[in-house]
Amino acid sequence: MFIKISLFNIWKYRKRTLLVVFIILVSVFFMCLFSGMFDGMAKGFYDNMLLESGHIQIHQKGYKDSVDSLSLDFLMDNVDTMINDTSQISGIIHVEKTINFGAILLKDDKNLTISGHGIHQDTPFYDNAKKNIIEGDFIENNQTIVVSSEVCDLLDAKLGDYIFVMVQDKNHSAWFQDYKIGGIFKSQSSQFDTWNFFISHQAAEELLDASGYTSEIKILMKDIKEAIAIAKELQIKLGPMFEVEDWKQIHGSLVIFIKLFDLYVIFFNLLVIIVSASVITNAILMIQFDKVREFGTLRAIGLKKRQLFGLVVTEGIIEGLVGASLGVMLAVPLILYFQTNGLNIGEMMESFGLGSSLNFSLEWDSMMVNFISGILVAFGGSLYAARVSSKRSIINSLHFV
Amino acid sequence: MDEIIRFKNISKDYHLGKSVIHALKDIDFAIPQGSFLSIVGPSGCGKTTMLNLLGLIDKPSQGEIYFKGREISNLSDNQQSELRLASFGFIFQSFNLIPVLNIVDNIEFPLILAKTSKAERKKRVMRLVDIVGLRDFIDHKPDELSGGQRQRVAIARALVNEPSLVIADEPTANLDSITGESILEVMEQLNKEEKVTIIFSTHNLQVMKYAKEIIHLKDGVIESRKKVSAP
Repeated sequence: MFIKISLFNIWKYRKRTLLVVFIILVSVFFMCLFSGMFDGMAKGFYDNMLLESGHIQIHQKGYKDSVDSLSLDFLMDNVDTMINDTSQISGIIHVEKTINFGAILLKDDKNLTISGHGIHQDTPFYDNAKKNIIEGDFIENNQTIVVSSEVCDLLDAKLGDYIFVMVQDKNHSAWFQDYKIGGIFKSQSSQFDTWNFFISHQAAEELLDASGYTSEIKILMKDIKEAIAIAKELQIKLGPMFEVEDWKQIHGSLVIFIKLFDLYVIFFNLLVIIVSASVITNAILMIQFDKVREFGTLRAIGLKKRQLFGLVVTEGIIEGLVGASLGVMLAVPLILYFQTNGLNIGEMMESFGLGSSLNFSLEWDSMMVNFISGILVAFGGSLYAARVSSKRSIINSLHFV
Repeated sequence: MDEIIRFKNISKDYHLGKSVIHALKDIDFAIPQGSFLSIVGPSGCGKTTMLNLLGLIDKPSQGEIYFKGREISNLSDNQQSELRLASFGFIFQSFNLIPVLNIVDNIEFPLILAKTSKAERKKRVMRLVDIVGLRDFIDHKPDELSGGQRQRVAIARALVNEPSLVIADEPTANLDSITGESILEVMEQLNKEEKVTIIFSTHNLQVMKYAKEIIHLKDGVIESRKKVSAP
């Protein structure tokens, strides 16, 4: 009967009920949208950034404190045995050496300062370039170079053209080599595109006069959670001549950023909850004011205070259920849309390696939390009204005008 | 005859700012079971206050109230609710029905609070619907009924839990004289047939004549109390 009365009351005071439901709907909708955006950002970080950097990296001692991350002063030699041994460790699915170096690309009278990467053609890393090839292939042979379409535009070059790569080699001598553009990529990050090119690892060794050397070893784990323990184990095994960093150390500032974002989400949700709860409390209070005499009658015929309290709260919970359901139902299609098509956020997040398009992610855990939050907001909002209604004396209620 | 209710030195004061209004002053009386008693007097004499105290919907400033020999003025809020539900029925001047419920649901509501079985609820509600003559209106909402019909619903609701005492505050005040009389006839019939004690307030002479006993209130004190002989 309480639910029946609540439902009838909801219908009778439908304009104010609609206001309450609408506020809950909007609150839950934005909380869901924000969660979807944040989850997408976090997923983008874990899926893309970690696939660029690997879960563990090994460098020569001194690299970590070096100002220039592309310096050739920290090259490691004879790493093949180390790579083979490391590959055997349980939980590691891929180990690969990379040479990273600074260079100037030249074509005719145009030049561009850029980072070069000597990698393997079948690398599981650098998906940003590898999966976004728009012309040609990704590292055909030791004579080809892969650049972005933006670099091509800047150098006025096209597929098949030759460009010069000028470097300071391992011995600090200037050197250059021409390569044929064998592949052109276009990722979602303009910053990534203008800052990176790729040649084979062997081509890089020859270019830098660093045969048998590499600058970085990247390791990919089956389970990211094991990375920290494996990194520590590797550090002990390899000794002090090498620096082993797990993904948290590699992306220290980004990890803090992601954690901060966790706080932002909580703060945002709290703000939404406080604002909506206060509006809902007032709206519910107004509805209950219209029913004071009715409540007085119910109390007079035997309804207990706590039953009256329950009656008011039941109404709030029903409104919360409806509003929160609608909020989730409206947010999910939008999140799915942005999950597929991405949201263009300009170059704002590129410094975090997230690209100019942010793909949302639909996480049902987050949706459930937001749904429950919506119901709790309505519950909280109705608590005060329920308290006011149940505390009022019967005689006051019956004579309330 | 056993007494159903007793007021012992009851006073009720209302504080309005700095002034104090003495609505009832040291009232002392008892009402036997099965009474059909009217409390009469001019406006502001304390009729409604007395009924509110009788029905435990207000608290006395001083004194004790006994129901069937047991003090009830010191009960907790929950105990008073339980007593009201089990033993008291209320009929209000302006009907006070639940607007969102239909006739049957309005009458049934006290039985749901009392956790009466569904079959018993249906039996009792339909019996009372027949007694108050509203069989053809059971699906109607209160605002689809006339004033007299609404008051009949309120009477049925007041009686559905088979209370020992029904309290009616000016039950005919919002009704025309013919409808008012028909309501009192129903109340009189229920008092006779169901043996329910009924106490009602009025300031209408036409209504007073239905009472078997009349208490005259004036300025918060009982001025007189007399039995009315049957015509």
